[in-house]
Amino acid sequence: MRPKFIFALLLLAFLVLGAALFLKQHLENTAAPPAGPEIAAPAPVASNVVAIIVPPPAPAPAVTNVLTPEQRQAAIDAETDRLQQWSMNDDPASLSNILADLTNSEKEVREAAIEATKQFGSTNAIPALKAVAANTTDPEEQIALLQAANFLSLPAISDSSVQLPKTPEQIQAATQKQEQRQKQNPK
Amino acid sequence: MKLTKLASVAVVAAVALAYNAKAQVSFPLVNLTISGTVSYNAASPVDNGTTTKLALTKVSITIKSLIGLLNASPTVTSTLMDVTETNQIPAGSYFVYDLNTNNVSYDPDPYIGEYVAALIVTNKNGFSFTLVGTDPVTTNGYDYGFLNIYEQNLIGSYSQNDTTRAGSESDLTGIEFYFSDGNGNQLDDFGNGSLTWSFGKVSTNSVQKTTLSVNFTAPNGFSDTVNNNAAIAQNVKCSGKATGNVASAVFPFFLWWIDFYSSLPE
Repeated sequence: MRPKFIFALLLLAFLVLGAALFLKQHLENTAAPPAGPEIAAPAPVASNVVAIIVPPPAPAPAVTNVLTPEQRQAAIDAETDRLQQWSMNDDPASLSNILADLTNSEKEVREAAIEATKQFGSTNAIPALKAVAANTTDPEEQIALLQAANFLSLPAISDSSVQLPKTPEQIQAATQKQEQRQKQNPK
Repeated sequence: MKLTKLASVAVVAAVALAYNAKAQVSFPLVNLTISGTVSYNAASPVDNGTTTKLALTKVSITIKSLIGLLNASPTVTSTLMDVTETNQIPAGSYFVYDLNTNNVSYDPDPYIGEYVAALIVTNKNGFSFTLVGTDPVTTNGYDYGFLNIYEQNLIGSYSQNDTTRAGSESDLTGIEFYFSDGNGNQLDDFGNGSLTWSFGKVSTNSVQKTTLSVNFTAPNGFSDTVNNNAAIAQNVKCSGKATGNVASAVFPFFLWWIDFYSSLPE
């Protein structure tokens, strides 16, 4: 009888243990839905990763905007060349382009724009030069802008008001002067 | 014997290289801006009964106005026709400063009488008129302008990498700016200026990418006239910048230039 009793007891114990394991597993499975969000949690994590990955493209434009000194100088030189070309024209669009560069972020370009304004030779640029001068904190640049405005207020050496027809006396005096110079230096 | 032959070959190669380098000397043409003012007496004194007054008239100089003077001068337009087959400098033209040896020539003006670097009036469409030269029709020399390193007044400082031969140089020089329309308007002004060089690495064909900046100022007039009136120019400035390939043999430029200038026939 005793061995039978022990065997029955052990069997019962196994059954209880098995039932316990079954119940435990069952409970874990039914608890799975709440665990869903935990599994889905990588999604936000994934989005965080995206957020982390995304920033590199964001600085990318910054990287492209940060030019090497050579690239920056090349850009300045290119704009300076354009200013020189515009300054030789006589159209309003060229003057407009020149005046726009008076407030360029590069000092070298602004200086070239001031010179281009003088070379363009239009009194229409005077108000713009004075306006930019009024808003400039750099005293040297302010002086250059105002000097350019004064320069434009002068008649050009080629103006008809300057190149008045010569009197015979003037022509004779000029000829004499030329001859005198040639005698002074016969080299 | 073998050593002699080797030495001969080396000498020939060196000469060939030197000749090649010299042949490649081609300075970038510097697109110039020129500005300044000139003062003169435009009129006779005015007496209002109590005071007699005579004012100075000040006029501006720009590239456009200088070209305007050239185009209005019968003397210049005659030369222009002979040299370029057109009697007007096209609108939009500009001045370039040319240091190339083929355009350094003896100024035929007996008053000037020296070698000068050329000023060229040019444009994007191929027009080109060197302001010092010889009229091909009359065979007479003409001189309407130049911008010159004044004789040998050229000094400099430089730094050069021993291996790559890249480097930079800053030169100071005496300058003369001359312009004449042969029609009563003349600027002959002296001053000083700087030539700033940046030389890249020497390439396999012995040239260096080179940037040249010129900045010349003639602060005071010397012999100026406006419409045949005695005049004084002030603050005549010529400046510009250009990049090109230059023979490595010209670095440092100021030493090369003095050597070149000395070699010119008297």
